[in-house]
Parts: sequence; C-alpha cells; structure tokens
Amino acid sequence: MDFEPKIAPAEAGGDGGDSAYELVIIGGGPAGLTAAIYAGRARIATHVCAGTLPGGQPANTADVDNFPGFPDGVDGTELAQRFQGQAKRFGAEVVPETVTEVDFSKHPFAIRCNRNTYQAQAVIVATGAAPRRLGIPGEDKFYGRGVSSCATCDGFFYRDKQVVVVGGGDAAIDESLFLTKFAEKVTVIHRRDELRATKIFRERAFANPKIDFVWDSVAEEILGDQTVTGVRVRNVKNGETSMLKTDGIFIYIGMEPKSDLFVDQLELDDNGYIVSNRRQHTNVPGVFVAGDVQDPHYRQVVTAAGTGAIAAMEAERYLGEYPY
Amino acid sequence: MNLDLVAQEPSKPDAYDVIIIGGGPSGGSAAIYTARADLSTLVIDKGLTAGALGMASKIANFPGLPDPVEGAGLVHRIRDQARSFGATFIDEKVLRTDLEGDLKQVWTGTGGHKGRAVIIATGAMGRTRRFPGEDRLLGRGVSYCATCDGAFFRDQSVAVAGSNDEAADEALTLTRFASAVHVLNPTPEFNAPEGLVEELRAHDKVTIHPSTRIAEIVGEDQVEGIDIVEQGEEKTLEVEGVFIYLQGNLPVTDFLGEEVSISEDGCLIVDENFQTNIDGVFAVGDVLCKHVKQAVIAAAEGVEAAIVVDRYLHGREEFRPDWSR
Repeated sequence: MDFEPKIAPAEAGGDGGDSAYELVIIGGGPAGLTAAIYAGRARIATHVCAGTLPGGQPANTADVDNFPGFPDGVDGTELAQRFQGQAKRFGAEVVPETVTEVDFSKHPFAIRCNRNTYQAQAVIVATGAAPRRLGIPGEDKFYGRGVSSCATCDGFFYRDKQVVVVGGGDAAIDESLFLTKFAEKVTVIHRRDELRATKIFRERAFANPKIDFVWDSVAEEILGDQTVTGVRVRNVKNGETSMLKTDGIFIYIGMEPKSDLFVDQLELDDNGYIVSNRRQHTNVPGVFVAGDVQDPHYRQVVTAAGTGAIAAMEAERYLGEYPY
Repeated sequence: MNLDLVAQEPSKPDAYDVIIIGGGPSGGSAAIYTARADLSTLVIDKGLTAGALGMASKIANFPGLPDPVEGAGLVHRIRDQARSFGATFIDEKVLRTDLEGDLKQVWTGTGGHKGRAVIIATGAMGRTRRFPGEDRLLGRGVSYCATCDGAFFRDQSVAVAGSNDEAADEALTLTRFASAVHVLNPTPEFNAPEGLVEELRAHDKVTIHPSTRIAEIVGEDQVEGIDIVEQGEEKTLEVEGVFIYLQGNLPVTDFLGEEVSISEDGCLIVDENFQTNIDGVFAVGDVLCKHVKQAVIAAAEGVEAAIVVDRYLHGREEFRPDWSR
C-alpha cells in the first residue's frame, strides 16, 4: 500500500513519547472505526485510541442481523474485527489504549493516554454510551445471551417467548410495548409502585393484555444455564423473594454517554450527551463527534457508522481549510 | 387515530403498514428495520441498477465489507436481508401517488397499493432536461412505462432510450408487442446484469445502438420518428413509440402530486423526523439532496426513518425514542 501520511508520526509504536497526527479518533466502536476507514481512505494521517476492548457495543453481541449488507447476520466480534481490519488497511493506526485526558483549549489539540501524548490537528470523539447496569449476579455472564438493553436490536429473537423488562421510565415502557409484538408475555419489574414514564406510555402499557407489572420490586439475580431461564425478584417493601421464569431480560435504567473526559472541554446536554449539529460538529472547531455519545435517539450500529462517515468527511474538509 | 398496539390487527392483504418507494441503500435498509419490527413492508423499485449505488462499480468504504463489492452486489445483499425478515419487493415504476389521509395509495404499472405510511427513497438520478418534441408528444407515442403502454404498439416500431436494467427489461417487454425495438444506449456498454444484456443482444427484434443520444423526437400529432446521433453520426429512425429511461442527477419526484412540498431545487423537504409536510409520508437519502452521497450514510438515514415510522404507526406523539429518559 502506497499510503504516506502527510505528517510522519514521531514515534509510530509509542512508548512514552509525543506523536503528531492530522486526526486522532477517540473510540474504537462502529462510529470511530468507520470514521477511521473514511479518514484513512482520504489519506489523512489517523490514529485511533480504541480503548482496551476495541469493537464497541456490538462486540458484546452474539449475532448482529440488522446491519445492512449482511443478509446472513454476522457475529458482533467478527463485525468489529472487519471494521478494524478495513481501517488499518486504509492506513489508520488502531491502538488499544485508553485516553485519560484531553485539552481542546488550544490548537493543535492534545490527547493523553497512559503512556503516550498525541497532538492532533483535528479530533473525532466516538466514545459511545453504555447502558446502566443493575450490578447483580448473572448480569455480566448472560449479557448478549438473554440479557439485553435494546429491544429494537434483540426483540426479534423473542417471538412467542416470555421476557422481563426492568425499569419504569419512558424507555422501559416504550420498549415493553415494542416487545409485545414478539413476546407472548412481558413482565415489567419496577422498584416503585408507579411508573415514571409519561402518561401516554402508562396508559398504553396498562391497556395492553400482554404486559404485567411486578411493583415495588428489584431484580436480585439472573439465573440460567447456557442462556437466561429466570430472574430472582425481591419485594423492597416486605423483603420477600420470588422466582420468575423468563427467556430474556431487558434492562432500561438509563444510558450513560461516555463523556466524562469532555466535561470542561465540550458542550454537553443535561443528560451528558455531547451537543452536535447535523454535520457532527461540536462547539469547538476541529473537534467532531460521532456515534452514541451524541445520540440519545437511535443507537444502532449503522446509525453510529453513518455519523462516523460524516464526521470524517467534515474533519477532512476542516483539515483542508486549516493548513498548518 | 386508531393505530396503537392494542388495536392493531393483522394487515389486510391489500394494505401494507409501510410502502417504501426505492430499494437502494436507504430504502432497503429502512425495509430491514420495518420488516424486522414486524411491520408489513412493500418495497417498490425500478430495478437493481436503476439507482446510483446499483451503478457504482466498486465500493471499498462500506464499513464491514473490507473486500470491495460492486454497488449492485451491496444493494442485492441489503435486499436479501430485508426479504429474510419478510419484506416484499416488486420491480416496478411508481406512476402516481395519493398520499393524503390515513391510507396512502401508490400506483404502478400493474395496479394500486395501499399503505399506512410511505417512505420515499427514490434517490437523485432524475433527468435534468427534456428532448425537443418530448413534452409535446408525451402520451402520443412518448412514454415512460412499457408495462403500461406497450400493448398500444403492437406490430409497430419503437425506440427505448437508456442503459440500465430498467431500460433493458422494458425493451424486452416491448418485444412481446412491437415488431422492432431500437435500444438507444447513451453509453458504449450497458450497465445491467449480463444475462439481461445477452438476452437483449440475442433477440431478433432488437437492434442496439451504442453511444447514441437523442437529438429530437419528431411527429405532427403522433411520434413519427426520432433523430439520433449514433457514435457521432446523425441518423433518423422511423418509430411510432419512444420509451425513455435515461438518468440525470435530479431528485426523482415525478410520481408525486402537488400536495408534497418540494424546494426550488427540486428536493423533498422533511423535518428532523424525516417527515414531509404530509402526515405519515417520510423521505430519506439522496432525494433530500443533502451533502454527501455515501452508501453507509444513506443506510443510516433509512434506519432512522424506519424507527420513526414504527413509532408513527403506533400513534406516538414523539417519533424519536429518547434513551436518556
């Protein structure tokens, strides 16, 4: 491959030195890696700080069957590897390292990882978001094998089965309604005796014969063998525990955009999402954002990838307009 | 509206939940999501190579497909995926629509289709200019639909202009009626599946004119002939019919009535939920003529619209989910 970076990295491997790039991408999920594919292909010297577990959220998913272009579905880990291989082939460096600090207050921008500090003419933030976890036994073990946080993604696999939803907000009730299309029965476990969800969601949920409620209760343990078979529930008022048989458990106790690093650097909304326009610009010229860290609405692999492509093209334009 | 989950009945055989017009990356990806969300989905498309992606020879930057794929191959994969979730595809051209009200109607050459929501994803390969004589003789020998009008040309000579599989398909349709079919290909080679092109070449009623452009369509009250320039040489063909399937770079909106708002540049206008000025009518992809033409961005838009449509059909006030709540 005849790729020649416009700036040669001072230390390609990096072991404590400084390196300068045209573009540094923070995050190694679908958004960050799609941005890297586009940037690499545009011959922009690109470094991806991909985090210690590259691949992002789909890497935890056994079967991704709704990413366009894969009629037979694709294993989430394999999809992540494909993204990464493609980015590398176009010349982007993808390194499994965690960013600890950024400075966007002066140009070039500074991105610090544990061992290396990078200088960048432009930055794309694609750190993603994580569904909040319950922190109970069995949750990690069965994640992607019966435990999910996305009915749009996984509801399809529960046709004529029984599912449990944990939560009482809009997202929980909305997704419960969505799940009734597939599941035979949806049981909502909520820690209070009333729903936080807006009126229209509440009315619909109460009117739907497929939805049952377990009030004043929390999930205490997720049980199963290869996949989920049940959940142990504790009533918070009387302390009684009971067993609920289920084929799947959907957890909706909120999403956490991974934006802690940027609190004093970029404009965030009240829920911690990075504020972006349709062209993926943040409030700092030269810093772009893509994927779930800026998206409270869709959170799909392909929608993240789409914003990654836009961010890379906007970064390319920015780099052309701001020669250094 | 009586459209919520509780009241939802299985779709009537003659009404779909969603009709998607255009089966390129955005329409096809929308279909993956609507079908997978258990919405009955009909996709109406003119043919595999009728759109911009279908014509592209090599795509290397679609994430997840590290080995370059042909554009038509990628469209094919997306359609197979939508089919695997239950979407129905028909290869036809949309002629007319009536989109107001709760049940939208979409007419093709073979009849009408009803849908509760419509997603327009027809792209931007509409023609930029008309030929001399074309407008005057429209309906008097000039047509854009062989399936509709072919039977009027029994035992007559016709010309078909175009180079994609829609043009090739329609030319073959016309051989069932016409005595001679002249195919006027603006390019040296066809951009259509090989088998289709071979069938065309082998047909004894068909004459192919490569690298040929139309100078004028001539005739008093009816088409009498067509002046062409074939590889630089001026010629006149005596034909009674002219069928045009050429492409340009304008948003394809000719099948829409005046009720749908279109900008001065010919682009469909949508809000942040991809909804046009008409309830239940959405639009995505190049027909919006925004910024960049990239398959993955078009696919992402199709998926966003599909998620929105699911919520529209279930009577939600806010069409976009909000995961922060």
